[in-house]
Amino acid sequence: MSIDTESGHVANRDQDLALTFAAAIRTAAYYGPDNAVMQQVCATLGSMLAEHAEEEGSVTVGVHSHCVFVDKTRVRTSIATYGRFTYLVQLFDTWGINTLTFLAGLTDDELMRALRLFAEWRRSGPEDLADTLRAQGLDRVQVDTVAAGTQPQAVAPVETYAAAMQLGDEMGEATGSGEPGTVRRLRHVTQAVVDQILRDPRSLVALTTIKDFDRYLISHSTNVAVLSVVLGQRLGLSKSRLGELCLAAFLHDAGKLDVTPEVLNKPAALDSEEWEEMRRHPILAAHTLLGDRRLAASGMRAVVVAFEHHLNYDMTGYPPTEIKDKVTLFGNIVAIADRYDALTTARVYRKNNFTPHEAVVYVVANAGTLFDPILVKLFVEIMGLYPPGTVVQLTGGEVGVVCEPPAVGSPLDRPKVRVVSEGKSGPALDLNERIGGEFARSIANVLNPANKGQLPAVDASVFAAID
Amino acid sequence: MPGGRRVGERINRGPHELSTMAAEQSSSSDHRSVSEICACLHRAYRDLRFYPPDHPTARQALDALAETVMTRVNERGPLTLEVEEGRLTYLGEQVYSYETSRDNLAFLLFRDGIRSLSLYPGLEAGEVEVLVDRLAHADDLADAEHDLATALWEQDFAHIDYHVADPFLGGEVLREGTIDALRETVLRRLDEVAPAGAAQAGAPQDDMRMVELAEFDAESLALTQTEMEQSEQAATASSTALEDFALVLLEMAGDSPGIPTEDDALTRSLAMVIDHYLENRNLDGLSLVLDRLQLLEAQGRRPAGFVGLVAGEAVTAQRLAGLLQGIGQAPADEATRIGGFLVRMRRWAIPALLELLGETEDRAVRKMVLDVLRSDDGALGQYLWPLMQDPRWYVVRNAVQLAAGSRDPDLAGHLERLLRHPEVRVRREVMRTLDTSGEDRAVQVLVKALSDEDSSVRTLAARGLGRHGGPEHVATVLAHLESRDFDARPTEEVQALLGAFAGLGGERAVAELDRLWRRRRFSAHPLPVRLAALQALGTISSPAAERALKEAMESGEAPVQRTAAHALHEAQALRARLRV
Repeated sequence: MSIDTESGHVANRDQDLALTFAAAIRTAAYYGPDNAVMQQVCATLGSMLAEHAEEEGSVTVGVHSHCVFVDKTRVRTSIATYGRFTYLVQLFDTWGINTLTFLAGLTDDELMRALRLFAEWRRSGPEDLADTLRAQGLDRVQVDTVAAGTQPQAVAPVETYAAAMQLGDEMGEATGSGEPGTVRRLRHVTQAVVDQILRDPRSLVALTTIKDFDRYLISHSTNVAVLSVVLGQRLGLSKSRLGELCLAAFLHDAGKLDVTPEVLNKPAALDSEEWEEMRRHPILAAHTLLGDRRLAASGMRAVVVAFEHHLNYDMTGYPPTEIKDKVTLFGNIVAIADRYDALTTARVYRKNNFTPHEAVVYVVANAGTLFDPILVKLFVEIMGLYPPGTVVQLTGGEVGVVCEPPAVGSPLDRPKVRVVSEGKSGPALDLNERIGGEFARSIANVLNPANKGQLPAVDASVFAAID
Repeated sequence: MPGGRRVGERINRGPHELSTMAAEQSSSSDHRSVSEICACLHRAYRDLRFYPPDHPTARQALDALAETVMTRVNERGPLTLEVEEGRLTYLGEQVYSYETSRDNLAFLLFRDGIRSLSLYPGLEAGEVEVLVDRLAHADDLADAEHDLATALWEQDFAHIDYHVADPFLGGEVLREGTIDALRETVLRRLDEVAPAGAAQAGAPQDDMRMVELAEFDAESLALTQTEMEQSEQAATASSTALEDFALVLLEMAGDSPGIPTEDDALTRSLAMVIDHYLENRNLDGLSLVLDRLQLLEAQGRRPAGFVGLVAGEAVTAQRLAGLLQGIGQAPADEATRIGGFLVRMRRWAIPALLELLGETEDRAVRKMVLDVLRSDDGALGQYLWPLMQDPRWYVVRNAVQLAAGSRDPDLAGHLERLLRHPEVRVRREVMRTLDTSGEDRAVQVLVKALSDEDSSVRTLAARGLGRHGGPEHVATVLAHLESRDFDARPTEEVQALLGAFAGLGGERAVAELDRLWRRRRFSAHPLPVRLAALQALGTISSPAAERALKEAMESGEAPVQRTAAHALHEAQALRARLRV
């Protein structure tokens, strides 16, 4: 076997182990030890662990910097594996541990008991988990929390979001991206956005729903960046590519700086001449971003995305092209994010502003024409059929706002909803919750409050930590 | 005894003390090993600043560092170094420092906001090398408004982590009120929701419109296996940033005519694309760009000269050298393709081609370049004059050589200035090119060159003059024949001068030539001169010349007789041809 083939084989083996481990814990949450499915999963996992442990005497599954490791090797996430890896990362975060080590000689019975323990474990605290494992005689399963100086610094999501908005605001006033130090600031802010999304995608998505309508353009670039990166992360893009995507999305509307302010801010529908001017903004953005320096790959991608984000998936958009015959991946991602944010931002002159639910319907309806159909499916998987910010009435009569999309792997119409009463936020209800095997609540209606389309998905408490 | 212990005294220590001692020794040994790692890191960093990674010195340092640090973390677990302004510490103790800030790793990290660096088990040699590379070239990053923390972030190391002082790295300080504004918006928007009680009654308020729920088929929204595979491919596909960028630039070029200047961002970006394609020998990409730009220029959508402006900036001798590297061993079709491309680029690449011609020793490359340059459409001249002032003699020589095909009326004037060039090879080439030209002005320059200090130059000048000169130049040549050092000149030069004399003078030259071959009472010209005179007589079609040669055939001197006989034969043949 060649070196490349061998390393590929090892990588696949590690990935399979991590996936099977995640699947086994999930299965244990639903089935008892006597269940045939549970026994099959346990046996499969057991033989994988034995094979891995043959050389070193043990095998370690760990989580660090939102990535899964098997025996010190990082396992790559992909679309197909995203759900299970995310589940594993969340589990380890909840338990507060870095690694689980399985020693050689672990029996099937021990493994089964360990899996059931993991599935039922609700208390946080690594010491408890380690003690409990020992108390149950599971000495061949060890917990490790030692990771000196390991965790990346966590900036509060709202700080990251505010920093991005602030930068967008200042860039909107500047002559362009050529101000000294701007490129560096852009990089740092986009890195912070990507890091935040890798930690917890939902946090920033929720902040995109704040929608200060008077400052649409300022928040729009940030919102498009956030939504694009969330979609890119779900697609399995590497961190450096997510950084490029974030930068490109953030700058996609740089050309609007050159559009007449009266046209840009017109509180009514545009006439044909004004519309023609507005349609120039992608090419103007591309020119703006060319700047006066030699571009790195990230800069090139930003130019491309700025040019093509209104081309449409089927190339029926604008600006007209003569040799370009398809939109790039980044362009297609930003197109969805851009349109979704624009649709969910209420306009004074619109008779019926879109709710997030209607915006998702629009995106799905235009899959294959305006939007890449595969990306649309991923987008819906991320946001759910009732995205954050959707105001809903539940079957129990409560009115609330969707605060989190459905968990990975859950039905798309079962988000978390925060009840709102007399202008105050109440508890968050998980519509995935069942009582006696039946869903406790469902969405009965979608509401459009004061024709604004949506409400902020965040609670005022997110700002308390900053205070 | 004053202090200390006596030699031979046994020291007994209790178990606790022994354990503490062992721990201290272990800690001390750990610090030493970390210090050694830092020393290796510094060596690798220093070497990589001066050498490429495959240089033996750099390679050795990198390998040593990788082995040391990987062994350490795999055996003893994660290693975290704290970064202070001038030093690195480990568990509170200094393990690295360096006297000058400029070469101090800790300062470099600290400057770019990094406050700790952690290395984990599973660390790979490739990661170590990339880390050192980024450190070694950190100063270059500033030019691109880059920084070390960003460079490390982009690497997304699996087993290396770092902390920064400020997640926004000093770039973002939130303005007062920024977050308050967001909070107020949240609170204000929540007030827009009608009281829950009224909604629960099933009668939504006027400002709470009910929206129709859309029906979805869950299966249609699920990714199929094929779609998952396509997405994976798209996500992991290697970067094509430049190709996508090039297409967009070409679209933009067709959109906005503008007036291209050297500072125009679009022009420079297109030049950058061409440069990249040349570097990577991407002929398809080059063809795409050139086809498009030439079309736009032809359609008047780009001003005349735009393609030259773009290509001229990108096409350098270095890039052409890369493109032509190994051309002698390349498959025929590839060589043909490259040659065709060069001919196409010729107009904008002449300076670079000429420079390459002067620098390369590769015969196959030289041949191809010369072939390209010689497909002259008369445009070559203007590029050659500046090269004739190049300080490198071989560049000048090549330019003179290539000028031979130029029909530029200024040619002789430019060449005349080279009569004083210090390099004789240049002056010889000038003579050849003047000879090729044959214009009146060129002839005048040849006349001047008869006085060159070098015999080979004078020889070539004489030959050229003999071919293109006229009767008015006879006196000049005669003056050389009558000069005191004429007999001492090299045979080739003598032959050339006498040949020129004969050719320019014709019948009038016979008397002098006849005099030259004869032995005089007290002296004679050297034999080579006498024989050369006979040869020159053979080039004149006249009875007097023939008589002189016949007389020489009876001189009694064997070499004279042989030469005279041969020359007579030549003269008679010439006369016969002329009669015809």
